[in-house]
Amino acid sequence: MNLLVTGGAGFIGSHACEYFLGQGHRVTALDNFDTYYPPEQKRRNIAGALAHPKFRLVAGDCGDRQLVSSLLQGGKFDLVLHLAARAGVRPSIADPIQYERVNVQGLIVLLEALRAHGPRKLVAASSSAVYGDVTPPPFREDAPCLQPLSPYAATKRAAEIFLGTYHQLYGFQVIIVRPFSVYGPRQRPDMAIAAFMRKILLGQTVRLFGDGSSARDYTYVSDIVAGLAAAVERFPVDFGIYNLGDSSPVSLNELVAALERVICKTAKVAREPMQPGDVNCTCADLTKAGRDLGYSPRVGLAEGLRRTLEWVKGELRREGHAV
Amino acid sequence: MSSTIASQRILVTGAAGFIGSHLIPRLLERGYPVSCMVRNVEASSASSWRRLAALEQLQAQYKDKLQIVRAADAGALPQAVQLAKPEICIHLAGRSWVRESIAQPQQYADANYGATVALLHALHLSGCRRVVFASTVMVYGKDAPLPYTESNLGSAPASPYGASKLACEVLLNMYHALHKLETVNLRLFSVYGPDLRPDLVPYLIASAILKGKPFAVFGDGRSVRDYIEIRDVLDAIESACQAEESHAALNIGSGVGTTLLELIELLQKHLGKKAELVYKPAVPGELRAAVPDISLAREKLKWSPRVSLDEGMARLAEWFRCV
Repeated sequence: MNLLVTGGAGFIGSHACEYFLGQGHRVTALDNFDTYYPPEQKRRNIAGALAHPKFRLVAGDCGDRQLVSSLLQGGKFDLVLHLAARAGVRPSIADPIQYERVNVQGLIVLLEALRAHGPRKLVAASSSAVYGDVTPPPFREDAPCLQPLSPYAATKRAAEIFLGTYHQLYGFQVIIVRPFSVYGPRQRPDMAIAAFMRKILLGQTVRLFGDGSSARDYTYVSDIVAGLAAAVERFPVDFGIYNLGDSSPVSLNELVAALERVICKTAKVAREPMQPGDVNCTCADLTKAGRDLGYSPRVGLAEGLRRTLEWVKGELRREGHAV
Repeated sequence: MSSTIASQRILVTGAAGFIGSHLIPRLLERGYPVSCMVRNVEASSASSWRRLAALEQLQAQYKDKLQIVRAADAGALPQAVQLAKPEICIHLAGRSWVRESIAQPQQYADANYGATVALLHALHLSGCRRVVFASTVMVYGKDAPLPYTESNLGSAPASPYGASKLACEVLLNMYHALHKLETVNLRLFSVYGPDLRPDLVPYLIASAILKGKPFAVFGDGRSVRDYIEIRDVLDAIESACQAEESHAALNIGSGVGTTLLELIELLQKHLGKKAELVYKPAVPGELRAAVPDISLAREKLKWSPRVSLDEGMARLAEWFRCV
C-alpha cells in the first residue's frame, strides 16, 4: 500500500510509519513540526524512518490547501492515516481557537483535498476525551459523546461528526479510532508518564492533581499501532468508530507507586487541586475493537513502563544528565 | 416580565438575518437592552443590507437601548463582545443553506463552527451567563426514529450544514460542563414567516404561484416537514432566555407534520391562485419525513406553538402580495 500519514513525525505517527515501512508499505509522512513541544524531538522520532528507501517526509501543515492538494495529486495514495492534531487537554482551555483551527479546519482542508483528488479512504485518530465525564465506564463507542469536558475534546468530537457526514454524503470510507492515554518511547513531554519519569529521575517534585483517585486507561504505544494497523489493513467496515485502550484503568496514586517501583526511587510529590477539563476516569470497552479489528492489548503497565523508562533515561543522558 | 429581567443586556448575532430581523424589535418592545452583532454584511445579500438599514432606523427610535456592534472577522470578536458585555447571547449567525453546504463544506465549517468557537471564547471571557443557540433539525441523522426526540440523533448529519450545527451544540455543551455557562440549543424546524429566505420551500412555492411559473415537485409530494411560524420561534427564543432550565437541547417545531401537497394547497388558497405543478423523480436519499416530538420544549420552556399553519400561511401570503 501507499500511505499518507499526517502527524507522521509525532509520538504515535512515527511509530506507525516505522511499522508500515516494516510491512513493506510505502509511507509519506506529512508533519508541520509544530512548536507545541520541541520539534527537535520529532526530528529524532523519524530519524530511523528517514533512512528507509520507501519513506518520504513532507514538512508542512495539513491545513495548507495548496500543499495538500499537490501532495495528493502527485501521490497516488491508497489510504490516509490522519494523526495530525493539536493535542493537550489543559492548554486547550486557554486557547480553544488554535485547537479548532488545527483539529477541525485542518481536517476539513484535508477532506476537501481528498474529495477532489482521492483517496476517499482514511483512518483518523480521535480521542478517548470525547467521552467526557458523563459516559459510564467502560466507555462504549455508541455512547452519545455530546458533552466533552475540554475544547480539545470538543474539537475531536467535531472532527468525528464531520467525518461521519463525509462518509454519508461523499462516500468516504472512514475508520475513527479513539486512543486512550497512550504512553511509551517518544511520548509527548507534557504527558503524565514521560513527564513524571523525568521528574522522579531528576529528583524534582511531581505535581499531582486531585486526590490521586482519578484513573486513566494507559495504553502502550505498540498496542495503539497494532490497532491502527488492523484498521488500515483490515478496514472491516465502511464507517466505524473503535476504542483503542487497555481496559484496565490505573489511578494516579497507583501510577506513582508503579513508577517508583520501576525506577527504584521514591517520588517527591506535591498535591494540587483537580484541574478543570480533566475527567475522573477513562476506561475502554474493547468488545467492538476485539471483534472487528482483532485488537487485544499485549503490553501491561509494568512492562510498558520499563520500556518507556529506557527511552526517558536515554533522552536525559543525551541532554547531559547522569541517570 | 419583571424589570430586573428586562435590564439584562442581550447580544444577538445574525441580527440582519431572517430570524434576527424579527427578533430585535420584539426584544426592544419587551424592554431589553440589545446589542446587535453585525458581521460580513458586505458579503451577504441585498436583504441583509435592507435589514441593516431597518436596524439603524430602530436605533434612532430606541437610542442607547440598541447598540450595533460591528466585527469584521473572528479576530475582532473579543473586542466587540467586550464592548457589549452581554448577560445573554442569542447566537443566530451562520450560513444555513443545506445545498450550498454540500458544495462548500469548508465555508460551513468555518462560518458556522469556527466562528462559534471564537464567539464562545469571547463570551466566556466577557462573563456572559447564558447562550441561546439556533441549531437545526438538520442535526438529526437520516435514520433517527420519528418523531425526532432530542436524545436520539441517529447517525451523523447528512449535510455539512447539519454537521457544523451539531459540532456547535457539542461545543456549547462543553462550555456548560467546563465553565458552567448556561446553554440552550434550539433545534429549529422549518421556520417561515414574512421576509423569509428565498431558498426556503414556502417562498419557492409562493413565488412560482405568483409568477405563474411551474413548481417542480420531486417525488409524490407526500414528504412530510414541520413548519413553524416565526412568532412561535420568537416566543421559544424569549422563553429560552429566561427559562430556569440552564442546559438543554430542544426541538422547536409545530409538532404537526405537513406534506408538500398540503403546503401547496394552503398557499394556493391564500394567494387565490392555482399552482402549476410539474412532477419529477424523487431526489435519491431525500428524507420522507422530519417531524419533532416537542414535549420537552413545552415542559422546559413552558412554551407552546400558537400559530396554526393556516393562519401562518395567510400572513405569509399577505406579505407576498405586498412585496
